[in-house]
Amino acid sequence: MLIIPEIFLAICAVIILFISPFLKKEAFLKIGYITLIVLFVSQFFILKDIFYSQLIFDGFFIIDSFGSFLKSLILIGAGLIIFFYLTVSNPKSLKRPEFSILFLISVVGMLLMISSNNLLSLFMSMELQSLALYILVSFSRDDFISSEAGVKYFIIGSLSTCIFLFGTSLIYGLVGSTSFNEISLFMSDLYSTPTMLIVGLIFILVSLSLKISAAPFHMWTPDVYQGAPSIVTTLLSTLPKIAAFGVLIRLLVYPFGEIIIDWGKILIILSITSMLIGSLGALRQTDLKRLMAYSTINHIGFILMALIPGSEDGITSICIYLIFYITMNLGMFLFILNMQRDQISVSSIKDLSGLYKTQPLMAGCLSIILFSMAGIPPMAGFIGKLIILNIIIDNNLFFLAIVAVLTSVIAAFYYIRLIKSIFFDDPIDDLDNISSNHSKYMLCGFAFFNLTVVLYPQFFLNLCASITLSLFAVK
Amino acid sequence: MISLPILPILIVLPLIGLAFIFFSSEEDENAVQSKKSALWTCASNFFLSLYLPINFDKSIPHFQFVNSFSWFNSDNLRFALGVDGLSMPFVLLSTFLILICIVFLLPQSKKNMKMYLASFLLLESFLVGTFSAIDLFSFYIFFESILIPMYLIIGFWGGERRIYSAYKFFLYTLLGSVLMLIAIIFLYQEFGTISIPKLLDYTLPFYIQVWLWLAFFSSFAVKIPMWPFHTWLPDAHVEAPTEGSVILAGILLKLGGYGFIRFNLSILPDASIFFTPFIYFLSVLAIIYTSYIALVQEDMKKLIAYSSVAHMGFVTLGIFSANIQGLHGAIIQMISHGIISAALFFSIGSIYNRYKTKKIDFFGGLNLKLPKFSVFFLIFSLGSIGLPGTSGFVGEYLSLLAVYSKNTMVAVISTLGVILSASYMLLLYKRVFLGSLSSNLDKKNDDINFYEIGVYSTLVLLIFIIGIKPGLILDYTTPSLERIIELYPISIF
Repeated sequence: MLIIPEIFLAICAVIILFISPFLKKEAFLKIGYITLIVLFVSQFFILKDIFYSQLIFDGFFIIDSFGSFLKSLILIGAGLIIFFYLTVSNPKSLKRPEFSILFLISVVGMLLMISSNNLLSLFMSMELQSLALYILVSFSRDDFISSEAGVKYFIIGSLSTCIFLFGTSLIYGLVGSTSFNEISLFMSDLYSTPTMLIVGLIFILVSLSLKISAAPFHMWTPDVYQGAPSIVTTLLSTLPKIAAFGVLIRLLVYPFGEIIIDWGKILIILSITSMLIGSLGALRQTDLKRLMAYSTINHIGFILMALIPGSEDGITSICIYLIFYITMNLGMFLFILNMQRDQISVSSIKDLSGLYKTQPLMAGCLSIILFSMAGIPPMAGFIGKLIILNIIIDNNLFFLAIVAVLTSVIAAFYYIRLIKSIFFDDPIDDLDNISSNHSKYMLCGFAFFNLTVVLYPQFFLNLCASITLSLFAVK
Repeated sequence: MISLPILPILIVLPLIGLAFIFFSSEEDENAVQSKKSALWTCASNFFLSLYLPINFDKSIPHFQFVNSFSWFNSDNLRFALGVDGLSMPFVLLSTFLILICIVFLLPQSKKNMKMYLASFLLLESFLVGTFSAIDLFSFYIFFESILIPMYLIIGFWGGERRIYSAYKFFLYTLLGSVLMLIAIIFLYQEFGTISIPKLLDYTLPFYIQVWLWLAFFSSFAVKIPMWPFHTWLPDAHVEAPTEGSVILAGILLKLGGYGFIRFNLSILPDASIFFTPFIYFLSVLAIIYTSYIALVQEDMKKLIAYSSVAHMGFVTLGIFSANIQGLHGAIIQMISHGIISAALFFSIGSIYNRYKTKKIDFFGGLNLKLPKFSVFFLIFSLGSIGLPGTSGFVGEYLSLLAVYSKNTMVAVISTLGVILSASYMLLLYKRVFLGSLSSNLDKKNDDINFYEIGVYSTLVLLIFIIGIKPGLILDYTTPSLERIIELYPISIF
């Protein structure tokens, strides 16, 4: 059984749910540690079978190394986020065992999303993931903003679901099946693409764009990021994006690979608008979490660009960029999670002022991560951008490349504005020192990773190139 | 013979020094230990870099001391370091000027001295890397990385409007160079190699060359800087701390000229011919226009900053004349400007450290108070004007000679720039040093200290050595430059 990790995680989530009421003191901590162990074990299951490739449940799911790679990336991310949750000081409303359980369920949803080989299984796993996330976003239920964010996310999410289902029904009407294999067979027999198929695909693309918050379907992102508890924002900005990209890649490359001309144009528009809105929208932001939302949109635009050629190299570069992207984002959010003044969490850019004077080491690490996000060499972010630009120019998409570099200059402006606050401004009111040593070490670790990737980029290139092979082997 | 991997050592050594400084626990403004480590690192780096000219084979135009490391997993994407006659002088200039900066810093105290020294060591590593990179990607990585320490130097230790200037510096340069990145990736896609020596063997169709030329131009024209992309320079200079200005004028501007020769001229010759009138136009405009602007400046640093733009105009004239005199002139002018402008910025730093102002009106009759210093300043001013015997003369003369053979009109107009430079520099000297003592100053003699005398006399010595025997540098550069000229098509301009 190759789907053991998902089954294991799901069963564990249920078991934990049942034992949580019986734990008396500090239940959230115990449950959290159990969750961490569970994630660790399922990581082991995934790594064990990473080179297998098989259809299971009658082609309902597919196991291949591309999926396994993204799954293990998600599990690493999930483990780190749970570890953040356990080590930073959380507001009281978050100290509940349900947090870890919902978290686990959403991770199960993400893993299933990546291995789906059928529009129906994809739909169900996407719902599983989203429903858990809706609750997580509104987890601070006494907080007005958090509840508002939850409602917003829920409404947009349901809209996305409706659109997805509508697209699925159109495709089912034409093909007579929802299986990716059947769709692929249907496509290969065609002389001309029926318009309805493209309309259906557009609906599905819109729905997935809502999930990865690609502009112009990004409207919910800043509000939800700002409103959700910071630890949930950390989750939102990293793991669901990986899962949704996994789906997007699988869907576009495998069943719809034949009509690359049609969806390529859509992706060009999506990526250009995302990069523009992601870089211009962030300029006037004053809240770090909102700024990170726009920064996410900008990065998403950049990653989408690499999907346009639909080639193996492109997918490889996406995988590399995703690795760098989650290390940068986790590092940044780890700092945001630790931003407190007099034990109260703050997240405005002004609060960063003069950080260098009070915590020089943390300021240095944070700036390395910010320079990396801005794509300034020699940081990891630059290597990611270099690899993607290489793919774009290889495919003669010069206009896109120029838009990409110009928007990254605009984006660099707001990242270096943060660095300006950290180094050059006088402290208004000192932030509390980061109390947890774990956070300090991890932040240093993320910074170190971002700084030294330039020395061994071939490792990531080889790794990702070998796993993307499996995606194209199906064809 | 076992060859020493000299270039990697030159790049890594400052980083080791940086680690020493980083882990020292000094928090005070004087930071004696950190200064010592920085001094030792830079001194040993400078003396190690002398290994290059000593063991350099002057008869070979190709890259020497080549070290390459596997980087991405392909044979075409290697991280390669090496120097030829063109880049070797600049490596030496970098290690030399950083050493001089550290010596100049020794008697001073500054807020967060430790990090200030660390930034300079980082800068040294990146600068040597930029000049010795012989593949496009590592060139770009080093070229861009320089922004990080320089941004911090201007923004953290700068003057009043430091933040605005730091932004302007960062974004102008970044905007220029990202377009170069596209051109670099395009070259890689087109030829499947990023090695600069291999690229010399290929030729591109003209219409592609034009676009690539513009992309490279956007980066280097901002860096060198040419009119009208120069507006970041006065701001950055005025706000940067003394040592920051020295590095900015002394080395960073040279990256532009170096890039023009290395990329625009060597790899894209056809487009270079096409754009030569355009470059002549911008250069002449820069020489005349910025000289006039320099005449009316009230701030000493701003005056020198504008004069830098004018002097760089001669460099671009020389480069795009594309004959051997022109390239020689450009190289000598860049090296000499690196020394002279560094000396002038140090001098202004000395004045600023004493009187906390750079306004020209504040001063008058300073030679009564600082007699030794005023002699040094006069020599530097005359060097900047280009008096025969100083290094400034050689550069300007050769550049003008080269342009004269191509276009008489351009040469005649740009010669006016020499006269203008004499007028603004002598006017500056007259207003600050001559006449009766300004009422703002007391009679007390507070002449320059031991360290300053050391720094200035070294620089004066260099100015005269290069001025009298430019062959010391040109012997090294000639074969490499001749190779570039050989590949260059005959032009009609």
